[in-house]
Amino acid sequence: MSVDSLLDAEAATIAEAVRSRAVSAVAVAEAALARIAAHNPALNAFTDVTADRAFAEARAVDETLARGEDPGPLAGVPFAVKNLFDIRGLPTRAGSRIGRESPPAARDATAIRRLRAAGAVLLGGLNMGEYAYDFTGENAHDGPSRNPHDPSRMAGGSSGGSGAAVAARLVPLALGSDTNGSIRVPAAFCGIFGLKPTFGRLSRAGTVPFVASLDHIGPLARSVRDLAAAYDAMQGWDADDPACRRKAAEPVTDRLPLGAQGLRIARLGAAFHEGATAEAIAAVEACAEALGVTRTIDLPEIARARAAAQIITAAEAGVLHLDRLRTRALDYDPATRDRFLAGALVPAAWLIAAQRFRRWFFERVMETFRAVDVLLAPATPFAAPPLGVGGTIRLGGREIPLRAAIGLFTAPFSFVGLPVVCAPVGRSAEGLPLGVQIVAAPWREEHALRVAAALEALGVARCPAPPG
Amino acid sequence: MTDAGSSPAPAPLSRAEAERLLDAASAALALPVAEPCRPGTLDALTRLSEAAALVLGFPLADRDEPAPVFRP
Repeated sequence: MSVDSLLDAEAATIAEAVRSRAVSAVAVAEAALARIAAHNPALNAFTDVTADRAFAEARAVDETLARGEDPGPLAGVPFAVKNLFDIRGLPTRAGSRIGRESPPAARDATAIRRLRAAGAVLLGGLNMGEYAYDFTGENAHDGPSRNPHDPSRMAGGSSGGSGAAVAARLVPLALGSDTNGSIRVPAAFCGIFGLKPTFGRLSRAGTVPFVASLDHIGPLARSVRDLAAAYDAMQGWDADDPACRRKAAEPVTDRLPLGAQGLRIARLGAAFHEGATAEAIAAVEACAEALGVTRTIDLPEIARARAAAQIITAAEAGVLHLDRLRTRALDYDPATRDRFLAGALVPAAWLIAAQRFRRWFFERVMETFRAVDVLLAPATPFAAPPLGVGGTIRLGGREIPLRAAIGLFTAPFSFVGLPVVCAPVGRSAEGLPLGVQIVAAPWREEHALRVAAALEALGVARCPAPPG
Repeated sequence: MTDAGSSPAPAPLSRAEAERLLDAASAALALPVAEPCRPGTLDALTRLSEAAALVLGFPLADRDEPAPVFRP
C-alpha cells in the first residue's frame, strides 16, 4: 500500500502503520498535504493549512517511536479542525471577517491538545458557516464548503469544511461543533460518521462560543472505530470550560464489539417523518430492519422543542454578539447578520419560557429512556441541496425557510444535550448520501456508538467514496 | 403556588408589531439596525415570534424551572 492510498484507510489503520514503523508520520503528513493541495481548490474545505507545524509534530511522533516510546493510539493520524477552534499562532476566524483580525491564538484549544497528546498531527483549520449560525456550509467571506459527492451542492453546516475534508479523504479525522446539528448535518450530507456527545462531556475550551447553553464539540470520521478513538482521546474534565462536567473518562473503544447486544432500540415516529423525503425515512427503516427493531415511539411536543431551541439560539447568540453588532454589523455575513440582530432584540419572556419548556421536555425524554436505550431518526429531511438555494417548505401549518428546515430533526436532541451518532445510511433519489441519527440517553455515548458499530458491521452504515 | 391560569398566549407579531418591537428594543439596547439589515431582521424577528407563540402557548407549572445552564 502506498502512503497516499493509506489515506483512504481509517485512522486506526494509519496509526497501526506508523506505530509499526511501516511508514513514517512525516511521510503520512506529506501525503496528506499533497492531497489537500490537489483537491482543496475544488472543495474549499481548508481555510488554513499548517504545513510547518504538521511536519514538526510528525517528526516528534517519529522520534518518539525511534526512542522506543509510545506516541499514543492516534500516532501520526492527520486531522484538522473547524476554524472556531484556537490554533496556536493563527487568528481564530470562526468563519467571520471580524475574527480573522484578532491576534493569533496563544495556545491550542483543549481538544487539539488532547488529540496531539494521543499522537495525532494537526494539518489546519476548516471552513465553516459564520460564527456557526448555519446549516449550509456556505460562507460569504471564504466561499462555500463544497460537497465531495457533488461540488455544486452544500457540504452542510456549520462544520462544512469538516464534513467535506473527511468525506474527500483529505484527512481521516476532523473536529466540529454542534449547537443545533452542526456536526450531524455535514456528516449526513457528506456521507460520513459524526458524534455529538452529551452536553458537558467534551471540553469546549479554546473554541469561539455560539450558544453557551447548547454548544458541543465532537469528531467526524469515516469509521465508528475512529470516531470512538478520537472521542476517547478527548474525554476528561477541563477546568477551562465551565460547562464541562467533572466526570472520569469512560472509554468506549473496547466496548464497540458488543454491538447492539442487550440494547432496547426503537425508531421515532410521526414528528420525524413530517417534511422528510421517502429516502430519508427508508434509511431509518433499513437500520430498523437490520437491527430487528419493531417498536415505534413518539416524543411529545417536538415542534415546541424546535421552537424553544430556535429562541434560545437566537437570544443567546444575539446578546453574545451585541457589542460587535453595534459597530460592525455590516462586516457580518448577510446570511447570519440579520438573525443575530433579531436575536439581540428578543424579549426576556420568550427566552425564559423557552428555558422552562426545555426542562419540561427533558423530563419527558428521560421518561422515554426508561423504556428504551436507543432511538433512531433521520438526520436531515433531505439530502444536500444545491448551493445558494432559497425558498421554504410547509411544515405543521408554518412556512419554514428550507435552509432552516435542514436542522428540523437534529435540533430537538441537542436541545436536551443527548449524545447522538450520525451514521451514513442510504442514498437520495439523486444518489447523494443520507444520515441516520442514533440517539442515546445522557452520558450513554457508548450505546449510540455500539449501535453504529453494529450497523457498520452489517454493511448498512458505510461511507460512500466520492466520485473520481 | 398553584399553576398559572390559562390566559391566551400571544399571537405571532404582525409586520407592524415587529417594526415597533425592533424600534423600541434597538433603542433600549443602543443597537442601531442599519437600513440594509432591517428587512431581514424583521423577517427573523417575525419567525422568532411564531416560535415564541408556540412556546408561550404551552402550559407550564410554576415549579417547572428554567434550564439556563443545561445539566443532563
